[in-house]
Order: sequence, then C-alpha cells, then structure tokens
Amino acid sequence: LPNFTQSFNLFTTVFLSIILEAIPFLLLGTFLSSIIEVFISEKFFEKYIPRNRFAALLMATVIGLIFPVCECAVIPIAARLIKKGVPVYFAVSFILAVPIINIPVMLSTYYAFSGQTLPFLLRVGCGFFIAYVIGLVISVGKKERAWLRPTAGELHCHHCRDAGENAAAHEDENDDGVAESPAGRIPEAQPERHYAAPSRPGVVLVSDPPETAATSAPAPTRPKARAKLARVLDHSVDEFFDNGKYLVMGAAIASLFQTFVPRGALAGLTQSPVLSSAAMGAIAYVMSICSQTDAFVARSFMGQFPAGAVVGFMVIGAMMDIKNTAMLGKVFKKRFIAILFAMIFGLGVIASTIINLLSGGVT
Amino acid sequence: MKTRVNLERIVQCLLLLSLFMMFDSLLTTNAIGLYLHPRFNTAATAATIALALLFFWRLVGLFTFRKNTPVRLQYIAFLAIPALFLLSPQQPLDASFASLRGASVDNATLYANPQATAAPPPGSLARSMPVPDQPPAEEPAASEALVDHSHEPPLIADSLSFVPVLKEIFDDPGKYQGRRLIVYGWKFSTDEVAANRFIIARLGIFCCAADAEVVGIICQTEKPSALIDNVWYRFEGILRMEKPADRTDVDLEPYLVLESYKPITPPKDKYVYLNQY
Repeated sequence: LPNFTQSFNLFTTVFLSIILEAIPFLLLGTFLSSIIEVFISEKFFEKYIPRNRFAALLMATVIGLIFPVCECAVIPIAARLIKKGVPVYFAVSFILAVPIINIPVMLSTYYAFSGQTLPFLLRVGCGFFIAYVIGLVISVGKKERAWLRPTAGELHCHHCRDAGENAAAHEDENDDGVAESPAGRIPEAQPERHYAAPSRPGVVLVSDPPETAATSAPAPTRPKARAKLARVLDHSVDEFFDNGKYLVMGAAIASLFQTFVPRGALAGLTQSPVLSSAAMGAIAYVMSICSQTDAFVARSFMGQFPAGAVVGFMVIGAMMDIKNTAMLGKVFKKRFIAILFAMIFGLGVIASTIINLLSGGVT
Repeated sequence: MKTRVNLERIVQCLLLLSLFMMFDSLLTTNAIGLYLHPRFNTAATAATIALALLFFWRLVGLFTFRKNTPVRLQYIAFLAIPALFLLSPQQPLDASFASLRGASVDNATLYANPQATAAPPPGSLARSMPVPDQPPAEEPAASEALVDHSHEPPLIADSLSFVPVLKEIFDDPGKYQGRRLIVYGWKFSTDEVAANRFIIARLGIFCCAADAEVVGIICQTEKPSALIDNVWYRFEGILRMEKPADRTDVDLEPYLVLESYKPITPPKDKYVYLNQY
C-alpha cells in the first residue's frame, strides 16, 4: 500500500503538471484556430501559400519564425488550416517544424547548451530536413486527403451537428458570417446559422421552424463583430474539449511511464550509435516535454548518451510525443499516424546516428 | 419559443468551471509552484481568465439552445483532471522521483540560466566523478589551494540561492577553493559516486514537475552511512576542487568536504527553479 500511495502521488503530480503546463497553450491554440476559422477565408491561403510544393514546404517549415507556437497549440491550428483547404503536406510539415523552428525554442536550445552553436544548428537543421522531407513524401501522394479522418473536416462543429448538417455548410458563409447560396448570393431573408446564439436579435438556426425564422430581423442589421466574436467563443469551447481529451489521455500515458519506468532502464543502449539514438527518441516520445524546455533536459543526458542521440531527443520529441500523437488522432487516420511516426522516428534515428558516427560517438 | 436545456452544454459548463476553480485555487494559494515553474504563472493566470470567459459564455448560452444533444464520452477524460486534483495530496515530487531519474544526476542543469558564462559546459557529475574505490583526483595547484577564505562569510545555498550559488561555484571553481559552504538539501545516494560520497540534492524544474532533474553538489565524508538517504539536512563544509579524471574540457570540479550536518524540516518550497528567464 505505501508503494501504491507513493506511485499514485507521483503519477498525479506529473500528470497535473503536464496538464497545467499544456492547458494555457491549448487554449491559445484553440483561440487562434477559431480566429482563423471565423476571420480568415480560404482565399487568403490560396493567395499566400505558393502553388509550387517545394516553395510551399519551405514556407511551412519556416513559418514558425513569425508564428511561434508549441506542439500543444499547433495541432488545432493545423487542423483548421486543413479545413480551410490548405494542403495536407503543408499542414504536416507545419506541425513538425514549428515546435522546433521558432525563436523561443531556438533561444532555449542555444542557452541550454551554454551558447554553443553546434547543438542548436544540428537541432534546427535536422528539424528542417525531416519536416521538409516528410512533407515532400506526403505531397507525392495523389489522395492526401484520404488520410484525414471523416470527422476531421467537421472539426467539432457543434452547431452543425445539432442542426443535423455537416461542416461544409460553414464554407457557404461569406465574410459577414451570413450564409450564401451556392451561387454566392445571399438569399432573401436568409438568417445566419451555426455559431451565433439564436437568442440574439436576427439570429436563428437553420433548423428553426419557419415561423421562428420569419420573426427574426434581417441579417444585415445584426452587428458583425458581435456575431463573429460569438462564433470565435463557440468554436473555442468545442475545440478545447475536442483537442483536450487527447491531451488528457496523452498526459496520463506519459505520467504512467514517468512513474513506473526508470530512465536508467535504457542506459545499457548508450554504447551503440543506432540504439542510443533510438533509445533517446523513445525517451523523448514518452516524456512528452514541451519543446521550449526539452533542450535543458536533453543537456542533462550529455555525458551519458552520444551527442547525436541527444540531438535526436530534441528533434524527435518536439515533433511527436505521446500527447500530440493522441491529439493527431483527431485529425488523421490511425494508419497515417503510424506511418508518420515511423517516418519521424526513422529519419530522426538516421540523422542522430550519422551525427554519432561523424562525431566519433563523443558524449 | 420553447426553451430546452442542453445537457452537453451543462457538462461543458461544469468542466470549465472546475478547471477554472482548479487554476484559481492553485494560483491564489501559490500551490501552483508544486507543479509549474514560476515563470508560467502569467500563462496560468491567462488560462484562468480564458476559462472563466469560456465558462460564462457557455453559461449564458445554456438555455438558449433549442435542440438537446447527447453527452459524448469524451468528457469522461476531462473528469480525470478535477478528480485527480482533488485526490492529489498536493505534494511536490520527492526522492522517489529522484531515484527514477537517478542515472541523470547532472550539475550541467545549473547552467540553464542564460546569464551563465560562455564557459564550456561542465558536463555531468556522474562522468566526472572517480569510480568507486579510487581516490579522488589530485587537488589543484598549491597557489589555488592556499587562498585564505577564513575571513570571508560562508556561502549559503538555500532554496532561493541554491542555483545561483552553485552555478557561481561551478563557473569559477578555483575562486572558491577552501571557501566554507552551507547547503540545504537532502542526501541522495547513487552508485555513480565513490563509496565515501553522496550528492547533496534538490529537484530542479525547468518548466513543470514532469521535467524535474536532480541537481546538487558532491559531498565527501568519512561516514556517509551516518546520514539517512532522502532526509533533509543542513550541510556545512569546505569546498575542495579536483580535476576530473575523464574530462578534458573541465579543469576543476567542486565537491564539499563535510564538517557538520543537522536534520532540518523540509522547506516549504522543495524545488529549485532552473532556466529563470
């Protein structure tokens, strides 16, 4: 019983610490995602994302320099981008690169290694390379949207579900949040639907009975800003819960590992360039540490693991860990996640092993 | 207009309220330090405000939806957060966690502060320490060893000063040769140090308790077994330096020759916080 109590206390402390750290960033991600949904049209992305896939991938991998979000926030945003018509390969490269190639993470890596530039450059270089290559591989596929879960397009559109519609209905809305006909015209006396609460003047659900709709004021009289804010808040709540459940599950699994698996369990693998890289990748995956701080933890492995394996820890862990694997499950099919995991892990281990070999296994 | 209650929204309301109360309670009681680095207080405060906003938004819209929806199972996962929060003893991680991390005892973590000098990383204690049953490496040159620190007050490494004081010592070990040091921490035994040595340890966190690392300084005494593992002590002794046997990038590394110790009540804030920027 004492052991159980001790383990339980350890588990709850680690679990709550992961949750408490992640929730602010999850909220940030859901707010940003909702703002994208409400305020940015598909045309915006069509206009600014290059049609050339090589240029688009370059953009996806470095966009974190002006859009710094961590891995908890990046998945809801990427999911929203996909829904807005952004290519899947762009979104995947964005998910993989942004947690590494952004200013706060780059600075933390630089500081963690006492101002040494090599670990910093290796991390950024490997992160860029892996994110770019994986995006490129995905872009070769002709049916990249087949990897999305059927519900991914809906993205927890609560009100659509309530109204018995699908999320495509959202895409019929113009910039004012007013539903348009397929021809792009606003039907006469057509009220807004979905994200505005029906109690407000001029706002009703499409599923409302005709007499209710008829009593509503015409859409143009409704304050645009208020309706858009309402949509942002509604989206944010739904998205918070939809993404959060995966965060909770991931945090629970990571906490179980941290509670019951000693870090030294993998210490026997440190002599091999390949196995040490794989071991560090596995540790990073299990620990699920935020990419802004993992460099400090990685540095604590210096002296025990070869340099390449430490770089692998910082690259693989930032791109994929238990908690964001669970969150990816909301957007992509399981098979795709398994392939993505294999590519990240495989490329990460290869890159780490090459560094190990080039550095002569220096720790 | 017929008004119905939407069950799913009620569940969302309750969960948002519980999360808001959890954050608020942790912030107002300062217990958030058990889980997060203080630099996350701003983010936690922002999250509290955001949760309150979302809660009130859902509350306002609670009775305005005219179609009921089933409560999805996903909310069970969220119940785990307030449930574990209420069941949790609200205690910091202790030595049992350090044991899980035992293989990574590493003073390099002390250098996480960007204010640290650009000196080469000191590497891990584990590697730099002599293997058991081997005598410590030679002490530094006589000119360094003979610096008289008797007129200087002792260095004190308590909860607040643990990281900066040890960082300073590791940054410039020669300067502190022979200096008296008082350290507050617990005894952490590990096979990776010589039989007459142990680590005076604290758990340092970078971001949250999940990334806690053992940080500390080697302590040498004739009878380490007289001290109990994982018990908090006030350690007092003289700093000595040694040349690491297997390192080329570090000239000297410090250790404390123990002169006296006494058990103490564990401090209120058991962690030390790294990476304070």
